Amino acid sequence: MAGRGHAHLGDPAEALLRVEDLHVRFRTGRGTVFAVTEVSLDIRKGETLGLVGESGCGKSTTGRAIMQLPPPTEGRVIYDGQDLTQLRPEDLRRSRTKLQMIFQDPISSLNPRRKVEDIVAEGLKIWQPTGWTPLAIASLVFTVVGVLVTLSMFLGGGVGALGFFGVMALLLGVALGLMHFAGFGQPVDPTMATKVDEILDAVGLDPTTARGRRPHQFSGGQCQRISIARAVVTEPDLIICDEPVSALDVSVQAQILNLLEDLKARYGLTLVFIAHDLAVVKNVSDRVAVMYLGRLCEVGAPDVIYSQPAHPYTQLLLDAIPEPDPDLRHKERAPLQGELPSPLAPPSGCHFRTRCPRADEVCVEVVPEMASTGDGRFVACHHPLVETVVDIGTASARG
Amino acid sequence: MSAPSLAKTADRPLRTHDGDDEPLLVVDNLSTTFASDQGPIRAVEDVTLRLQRGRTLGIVGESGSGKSVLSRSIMGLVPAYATRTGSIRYEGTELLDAGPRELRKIWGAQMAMVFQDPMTALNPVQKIGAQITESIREHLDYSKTQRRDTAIALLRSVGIPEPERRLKQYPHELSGGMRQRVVIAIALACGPHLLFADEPTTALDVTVQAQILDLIEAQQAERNMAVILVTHDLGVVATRADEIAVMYGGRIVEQAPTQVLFRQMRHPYTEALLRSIPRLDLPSHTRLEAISGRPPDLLHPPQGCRFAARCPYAQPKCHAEEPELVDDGTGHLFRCWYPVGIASEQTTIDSVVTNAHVRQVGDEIATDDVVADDAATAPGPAVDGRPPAAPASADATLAEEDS
Amino acid sequence: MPVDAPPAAVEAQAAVGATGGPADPEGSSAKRGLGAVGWVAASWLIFVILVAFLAPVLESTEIIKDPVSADAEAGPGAPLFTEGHILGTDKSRRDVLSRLVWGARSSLIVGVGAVAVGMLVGGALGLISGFRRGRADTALSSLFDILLAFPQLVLALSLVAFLKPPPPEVATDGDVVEAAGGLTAIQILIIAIGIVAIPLLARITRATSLTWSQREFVLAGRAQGARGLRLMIREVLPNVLPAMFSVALLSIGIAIIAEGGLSVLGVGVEPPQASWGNMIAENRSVNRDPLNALFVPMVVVFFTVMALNYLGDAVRERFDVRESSL
Repeated sequence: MAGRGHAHLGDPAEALLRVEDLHVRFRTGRGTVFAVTEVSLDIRKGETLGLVGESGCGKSTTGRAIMQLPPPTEGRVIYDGQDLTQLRPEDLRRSRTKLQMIFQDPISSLNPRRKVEDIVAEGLKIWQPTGWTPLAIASLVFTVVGVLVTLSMFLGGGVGALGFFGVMALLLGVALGLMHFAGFGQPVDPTMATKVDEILDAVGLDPTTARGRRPHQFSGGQCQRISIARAVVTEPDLIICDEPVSALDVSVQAQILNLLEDLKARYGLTLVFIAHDLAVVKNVSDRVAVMYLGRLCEVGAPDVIYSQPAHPYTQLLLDAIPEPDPDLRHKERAPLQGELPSPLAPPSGCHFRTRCPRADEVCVEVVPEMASTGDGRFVACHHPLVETVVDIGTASARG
Repeated sequence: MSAPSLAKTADRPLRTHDGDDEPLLVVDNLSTTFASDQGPIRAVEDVTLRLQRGRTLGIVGESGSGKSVLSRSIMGLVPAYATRTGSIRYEGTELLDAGPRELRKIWGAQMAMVFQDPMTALNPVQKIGAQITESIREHLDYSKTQRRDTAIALLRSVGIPEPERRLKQYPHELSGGMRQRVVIAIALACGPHLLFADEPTTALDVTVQAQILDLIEAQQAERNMAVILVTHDLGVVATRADEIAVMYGGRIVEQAPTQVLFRQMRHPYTEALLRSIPRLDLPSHTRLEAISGRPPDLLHPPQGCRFAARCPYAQPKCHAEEPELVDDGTGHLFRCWYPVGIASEQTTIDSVVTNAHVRQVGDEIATDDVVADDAATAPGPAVDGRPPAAPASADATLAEEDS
Repeated sequence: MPVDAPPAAVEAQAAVGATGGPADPEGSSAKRGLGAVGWVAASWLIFVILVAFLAPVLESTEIIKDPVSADAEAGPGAPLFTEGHILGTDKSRRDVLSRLVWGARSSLIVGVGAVAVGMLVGGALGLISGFRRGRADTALSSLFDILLAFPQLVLALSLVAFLKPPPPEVATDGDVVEAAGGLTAIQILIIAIGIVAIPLLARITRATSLTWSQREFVLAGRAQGARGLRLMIREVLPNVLPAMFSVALLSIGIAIIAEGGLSVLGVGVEPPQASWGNMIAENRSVNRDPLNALFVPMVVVFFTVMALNYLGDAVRERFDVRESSL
């Protein structure tokens, strides 16, 4: 199942973000972990792309690699005509507001020591132009005075009280300077507060009560709303949602899923929705990409993939899901055999071959390429469950 | 199987499925209260259950519902600052007041628990073999060779390949799914009659989940065990439980055989739950019916029905008076003044599908405005040394966390 | 002898605080606020600090006597409750109470000063090390390890010897020429003990900083384009500070005892200036010297250090609670 290829990528001009041949490898004490191998994706403006797979499949790593946090080992991530992997660090930093991320753990993703209004406004404050503030001036004064006094102490000899004050002044100056560069002492921008309130309201929190509180006073679902607010405030084009509802209670999941869809419509967002729960992914996605052990298996519309999976792994995955219907108690399924291979030594050829009921010699030798099954769905498998058609026109056009 | 592990079970009188007169477990009006510096937290209130051998009872609920506390209360694995009242009779013996020595005789040999997180349920510095034989050593009179053979047979029966080699391995050398199998093997080592499975698959991948649940089912059939399956996943109980009890706010709000629950639910919470979960058979972009608000504060429970604040059908009576658990005569119990389910409007799992509609822009999103006071946010008590649940006033909404 | 802090245990404690690890299962009410014992500890410390601060005032208003002049009327080694000397006198006939009060001043200045040096330098380095990881961390950690490899006492002694100003020149006619301006004994002690404390405090800060830097809100900040400095100071530092504050309190106690140890070796605060350490050092031959002059400062040091330890723990617990409640 693990595949390669670009057949499933559409017209580059139509894609908001295009990922080509992404590789992410980590060097650990025990060897190299092949987290993501030859993954190519395109994300069209206004769609929700679901990225689904079990633990260890590389979906979260792919999401972070797209954000260049950290940058991938190999591959291209083309956004707005630029390859993000080739940008200089400062240019990359400047492009940050357009691509945002929401994380799985609502607790870990909020700073417990900051107020909600600060957390949400941070995205705006970072880009506030810094000028000469009182803090900066004070810092400069203290530093200069401190340096002069300390120097005179060294040159003139004698460590008296003056020397002590010189050192103190210098330290204070440096400390104030650091604080200035860290963003303290900036004038308050009133439009920022309005924007924060607007966003808090949009995510379903009451701005007046929420604004001045700290994360520990909120529930998990509310914390996730705050995270979403933080991501939306910089008016991004694309938001990568890394398992945003997995850590939430069932009744809260629905709230957050509805919220994401609502915000998407309201702010014209494009989403990449990463999850392991197939039902959740189906609910929010326009297209779904299934991953296994670092490679893509199948890409297409959820209604198509779920009703008639082309890839053996997708089939097995769907069979394993317990549906809340007692009549489906004894549904026919072939249980998935074997263990997940180690990402330190993924199988040759197709990564799924060690557990696939349809694997043969071809699967050992050759990595399968993405091919179309004709209904807008693509699968990377030598023996797919749905026949692939060769699209001669596009194949030759792409070369 | 002629493994020694089953010998002890075979010595006890074999009972048949479904035909038992005497329930294995009888729980009456069990309540568990935790003492905290802000007052008593009523985690479980007034729970009554019966369970026969060979049957599976599913207890379903979210964080804060009391489901995990319930299973531990029945077993007796509660910390010192928890008080239990009511009655727990296992094979006729009253367990509520049993002392530690008596309980230790029962734990492992009669009742066993499979915990949620296989990473932390196993001792990282002890070999697998030692952990399995630990309870055999405690309860059964086996020689060293017999113990080893039993351990190997157990590992094989839970589907672990090369069991002889595994005996000498440490937990970190196994994958998550394998570890959970080992945990199950440990639980089954002395052939208990009653198995508690507390969210046994929540921490595992879905393909592994199916394997583990199949395993539990197979072992249950072989040993004629009763199983109490605690989970938040409706799909899991739908396919694995004979009878389901839905918990909310520390109480059982509905209890019925599985088919009946899914087709003729009576409690608004059950209905709301079914309507809010995304399902494979619903089309993409279906609007989910979210339940607004949050679970109740167990420190200061509301006066009336615990679900009234979030219930779309709530009437004044619901906020004033708490309903009792009522039996409608067919073994279907529910706790509601105005139960749902007038035949023509019955929500069933089928009607959820047919009534589903795709989201529109401008559909109302559920807001969540309640914020806790700073002073009120003290942590709840820890359960078994795990981090305490989030403050009682602001609930713990992490699916994996204990209630 | 200076008491070594067990770095691993304190590191582990600080790190656990960050992740909201298993909290006290008893859920005792001691977690809310400081608790009764905590208030006793805080009161004692406030009292000691106040008295030390007001020492000159106390002396000028004759509440306490002159700590360095011998009282010709009293005998050496006068016991407690002697007329005019409520805590007795030491072997040089100096009033123990006034020496105790002035000694508090010296010891606290050394203790707080050394920890301030250690915190500012060690804390900053540890924060950077834990945040940046990679090469910066490897380099800094190696530096800390090198410093920690020196036996603390030897390191302290070497530093004191290095920093000590040369002895005043003695002119041929026996008159003492004005000594070249150097550091006073207290300043030397602050620097020496401070430098010894740097790697310890750096290691502990690094552990906390490491844990907090890997939390997702730091990643979120980076995703919004924040620079490293901003993330370190605005996101990580506020979370690291509470743990460090409690470590600081514990360290002050250790520094006070370190000064005592150095006094026993003869390189502490120079007599006749008083410090708790040198009071203990001077009067430590139990057989020959008066007992009260030895035991009174010992008891005071004991309670002060215990109060600092207790308060340090209470502060840490209080801030742990807030985190794990999330």
